[in-house]
Amino acid sequence: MDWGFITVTLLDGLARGLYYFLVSAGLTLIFSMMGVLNFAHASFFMLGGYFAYIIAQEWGLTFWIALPAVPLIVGAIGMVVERFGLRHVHKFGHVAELIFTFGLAFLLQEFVKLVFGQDTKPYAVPEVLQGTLFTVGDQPFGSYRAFMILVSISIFIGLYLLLTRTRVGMIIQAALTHPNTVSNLGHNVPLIFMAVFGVGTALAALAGVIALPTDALQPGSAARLGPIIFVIIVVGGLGSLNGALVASMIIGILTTMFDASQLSVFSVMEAVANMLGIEWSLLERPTYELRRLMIGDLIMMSTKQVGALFPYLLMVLILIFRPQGLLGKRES
Amino acid sequence: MTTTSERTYINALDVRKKNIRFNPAGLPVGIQVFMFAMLALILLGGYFSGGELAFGFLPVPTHTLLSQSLAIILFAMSYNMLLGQGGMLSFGHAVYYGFGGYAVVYMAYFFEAPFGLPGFNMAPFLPLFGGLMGVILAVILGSFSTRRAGTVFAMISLGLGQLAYSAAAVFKNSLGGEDGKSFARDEHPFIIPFIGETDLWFYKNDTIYLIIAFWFLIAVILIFLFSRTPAGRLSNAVRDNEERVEFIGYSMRSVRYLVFIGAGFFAGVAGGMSALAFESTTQSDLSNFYSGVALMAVFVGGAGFFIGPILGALIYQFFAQVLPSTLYELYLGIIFLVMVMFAPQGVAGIILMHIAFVKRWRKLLIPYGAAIIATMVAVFGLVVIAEMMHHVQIAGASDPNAHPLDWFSIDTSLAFNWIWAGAVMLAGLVGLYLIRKQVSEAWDQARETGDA
Repeated sequence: MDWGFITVTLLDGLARGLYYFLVSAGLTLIFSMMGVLNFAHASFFMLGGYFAYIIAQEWGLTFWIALPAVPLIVGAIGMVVERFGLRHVHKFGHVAELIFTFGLAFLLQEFVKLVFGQDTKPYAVPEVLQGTLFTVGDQPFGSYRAFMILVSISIFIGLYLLLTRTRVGMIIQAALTHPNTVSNLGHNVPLIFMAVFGVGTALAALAGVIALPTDALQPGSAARLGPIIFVIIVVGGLGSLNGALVASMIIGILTTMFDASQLSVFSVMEAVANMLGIEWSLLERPTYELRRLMIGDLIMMSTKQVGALFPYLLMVLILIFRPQGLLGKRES
Repeated sequence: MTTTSERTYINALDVRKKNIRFNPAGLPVGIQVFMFAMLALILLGGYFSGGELAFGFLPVPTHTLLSQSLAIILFAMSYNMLLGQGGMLSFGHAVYYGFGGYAVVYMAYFFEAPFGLPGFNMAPFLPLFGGLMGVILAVILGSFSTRRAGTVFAMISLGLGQLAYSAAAVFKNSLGGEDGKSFARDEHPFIIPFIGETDLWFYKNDTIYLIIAFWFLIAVILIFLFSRTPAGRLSNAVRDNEERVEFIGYSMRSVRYLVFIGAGFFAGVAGGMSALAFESTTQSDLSNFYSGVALMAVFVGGAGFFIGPILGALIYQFFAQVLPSTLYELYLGIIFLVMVMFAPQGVAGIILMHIAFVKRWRKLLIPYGAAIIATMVAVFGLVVIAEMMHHVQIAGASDPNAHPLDWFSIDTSLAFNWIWAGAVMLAGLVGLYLIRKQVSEAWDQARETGDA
């Protein structure tokens, strides 16, 4: 076994899982407070990437200005959406709110297409962070991944301290479970909702700023990430922040590992044949026929392709065997 | 007779409050039969549209476009069974549509030479195999996803939709990857048993249109009849208050499951129709975007109303096929969002709301007219700006002239053009904002005098 490869893949997976958690934490926070699953959450992630692209690339200001500025901008946009959109639809019920955020996600994608076009924008990692931090064996670990891990973890520590150690955090926690009581005590609950929505979208935007340089910044970014984030929420247990963390890590690390390897039943067969000393050319013809059949899809399916299906398969399995999610308390 | 079947989950309270008494379910059977006979005549009329100009200037849709429209209408109606009747918000309904299409492609191969029955052609029955596939999938996937409605159901359907979409890309041999699967309609005539060959050939689009229109009519009647059965009524009850349904002794889960399977069947038939018309099914037929199209069509048309998805799908087809703009998705998205926020009862709901008070149109004429003018002004400004932005994005500096909806030419390099378009849009929006009180007051007045 190549331990360097495994270590670096695990670390890459950790970076990915943490940015998944950055996005899903905001979504979970919003969900447990308002009961709204924000379908447009991944769109704010994408908006974060585009704003950072404008600030860092088009205006020539640096990534370091975009990093704090973009979450503020997108958080403000999120608050406007909550105040003038979501609150208006609230009286129609949760399903209407979900439909509203779906429409918003659709519209944001079309808007981004209109302004920036369909193509992928060259939003790159800043030069300082482009190098390799260290190598394990012969596997390099990029310093940008380390930076992603660092930013995510420090955000979480800050958020944790804010929620548990400050007065504002206490009020927010109380408003999560007992909004009416908190309101009776004289706190402005709608304002708290708006602020939480803003913080949630800001977290998503921050994830967009730090994650999209390693991915592709395009109008489809939101549609690619969105379903995975929802899977994380369902797998972890709706409304459970710890569950979201666990599910983010599982999905982040496992999909990265799937992505990194290219195994398939076929390649294993090939390797076994080599090991046994069988001349592969003798098997070429019959396996070629096999590969053309429907079952050939399964034989040729590489782990990379399984990685694309894995989150959804995991969700289906969880729903069948543990409908409340990994750390969810109750069903519904 | 009071019935809840024509109310959406969203406007249920609203309609009750406003005391709307229009009730198509209560129409006499004779009129209902007459309406479906008219529908049959309209569908038959589609057979004679040849894709040429009528009276020398009116463009007439081709048979392929008509077939596709019928497929989309049926898809939207099946989605309405889920959302409007059963109260299940799905983000992955295209799974049944797409796999219905794949089933039809496979069955078309299956009934080719070695399997074809002598003197009998299976092509007219192909859409039913799409429906069968839809039912099989709905039975499997519904068994665990209909346990809960609302947000959780929506999330599960999204995940399942994404799973099917990703799977289509991975299973290249069986599902054809991004290109999908295609077949060729064979060169056989339609054979009526004991009578003989007819002049209807299967490679012709008009014959295919007839087949699709036939199954469409049957499906529409079945969907209508289902909403009149006790099970259909129960699904409305589950939508409105699932706890009470449990209390009176029914299982909300099995009612949902039943509706889910029915919706899967009709979505599969619709997908089969589309596959038959285009001789292929692609990965995009499975996509979440396509599920979103169904959601938008149903919501814009009016969720829960029988006529709603038909209107909505026609509106979608108008935007997608007739409007000379590549930005139709943007416009649809804006319309959708505006409807969600301000008119959740949809176009059908708005029409039905006003039918009872149509005699008092004088009270509504001026405020409504002003609102329509303001909306048109705002839309005009918006369209000009959006098309200019799009043009700049596509053509850059090489060709400054944009052509909004092919109406006229406008120079995007002049700042003045941007300013006036923005001003027009803003003026329309401000106008709408200013008269919003008068409109709602006029509507209240017209209604109150009606009740007195």
